[in-house]
Amino acid sequence: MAILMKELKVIYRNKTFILLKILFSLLYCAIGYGTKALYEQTGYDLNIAYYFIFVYSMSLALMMLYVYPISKDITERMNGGLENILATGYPLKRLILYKTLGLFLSLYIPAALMVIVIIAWSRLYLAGFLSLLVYLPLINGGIALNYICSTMLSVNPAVAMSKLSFYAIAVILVLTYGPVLGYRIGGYSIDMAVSITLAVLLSFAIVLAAYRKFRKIGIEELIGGAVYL
Amino acid sequence: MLEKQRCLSNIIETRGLSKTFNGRIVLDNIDLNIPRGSIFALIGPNGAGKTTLIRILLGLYKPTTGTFSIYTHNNDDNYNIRKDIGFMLHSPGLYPVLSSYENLALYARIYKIDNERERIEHLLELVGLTEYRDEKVHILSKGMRQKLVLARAILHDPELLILDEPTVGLEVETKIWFREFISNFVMNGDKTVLISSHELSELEKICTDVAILRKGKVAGVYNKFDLNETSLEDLYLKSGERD
Ligand SMILES: Nc1ncnc2c1ncn2[C@@H]1O[C@H](COP(=O)(O)OP(=O)(O)OP(=O)(O)O)[C@@H](O)[C@H]1O
Ligand SMILES: [Mg+2]
Repeated sequence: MAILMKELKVIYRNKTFILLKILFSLLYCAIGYGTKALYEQTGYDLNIAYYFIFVYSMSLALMMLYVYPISKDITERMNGGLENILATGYPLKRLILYKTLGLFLSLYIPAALMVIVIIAWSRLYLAGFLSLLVYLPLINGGIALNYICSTMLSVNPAVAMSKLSFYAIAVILVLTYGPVLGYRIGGYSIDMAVSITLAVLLSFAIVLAAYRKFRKIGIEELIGGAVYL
Repeated sequence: MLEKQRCLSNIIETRGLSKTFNGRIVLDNIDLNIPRGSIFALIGPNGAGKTTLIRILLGLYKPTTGTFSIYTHNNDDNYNIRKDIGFMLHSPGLYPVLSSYENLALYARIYKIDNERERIEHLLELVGLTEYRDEKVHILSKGMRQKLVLARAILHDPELLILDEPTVGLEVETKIWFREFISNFVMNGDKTVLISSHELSELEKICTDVAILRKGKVAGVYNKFDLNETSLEDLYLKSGERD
């Protein structure tokens, strides 16, 4: 708990992040509401709502990773913040989980707000709550754990971070513009059900990758691999 | 009975402690006894393995072979020995955007200290940082930060203090302050300091025992009687000639 409080304090001392988070949250809510217009235009096609609940919420979660103050984790590692905490006997796995929770909350909330707005107008309660309680926590938790483990394990956390960001961008592009491009270029439209299935599969892959990193990580490589200031 | 005797005289014992990184031997068969109540200096050239030994004692690295024991007063099977150990590492581990108080509070919660606020305020006063209680750490000078790290090291009133180059980069008066602090810390005889440092002249004024590490091996162990006869520098240089 002490670690989570520390994480949140450090994250929210960053004014730019607070500002961007509020902006993003508002933007996401607007998108959630704007979806209604799209839904009406397409002749009340519920697939649109499902698409935004499952696919768009995921890419927005990935997007939050950009505005998250990554430098704090890099500084923490290079300052020996992790080494000092671990030297008290604090368990590594618990440390990782609390740090993950701190990041998770930052990623999850804006995407969750958007889904809540969509539930409000679409009344897709089952899909909405499935997304809020299962899908979004899994995907955001997976991203957060992946990120925390990668920055901890890498000799240069900044490189690990930009690699993750690159994947995130790629996923956002494929998920959001993929179907549109496919239609424009190839002339065929990808079924919503296919995109949603792909998004769900992809998030499971992220969770699995994160879990494997989490299992592998040990104090010795974490400390030994760090380049200290 | 024998066990009890041993507990009383030494606080740390290492037996055949070795550490290899990717086949490279960094610590080689270290046998050391660190007497309770001592100020035990660990000296040696850069890369001799001092920090590695300290990391092993703090449970951060696992020894490749060999064992070590730490006997503190609370040491029974269920007790978490780390609660009796305070430490200062090479890297301070402070959070620049948190205040002095918040940096200490984090550890107070990790150590589950009861009267957190009183304890932290007492320590801030002890190290002369009361004025900077709510200032973010990034505005503190190097010396102030080191004092804050020291306050953090003794937050939970440990029996054993392990210091890895605590005064590197500090000016004379702060060094003297640290030296006096360390002497006072062991004054009652039930607390012990293990200190790694390159400042031989500073160490010489306070340490009661010294071990010299060279290339991962113990190149000499001396007590206060030896130190009375020969200067630390001479012992240090002499240990190098044998290589
Ligand atoms: N995690 C690690 N992986 C590989 N090699 C390591 C690791 N940690 C330490 N070493 C090596 O072990 C040797 C001893 O390092 P250590 O930091 O213990 O020396 P030291 O005596 O503390 O030196 P200094 O006085 O410079 O602090 C060095 O050669 C170092 O490169
Ligand atoms: Mg060292």
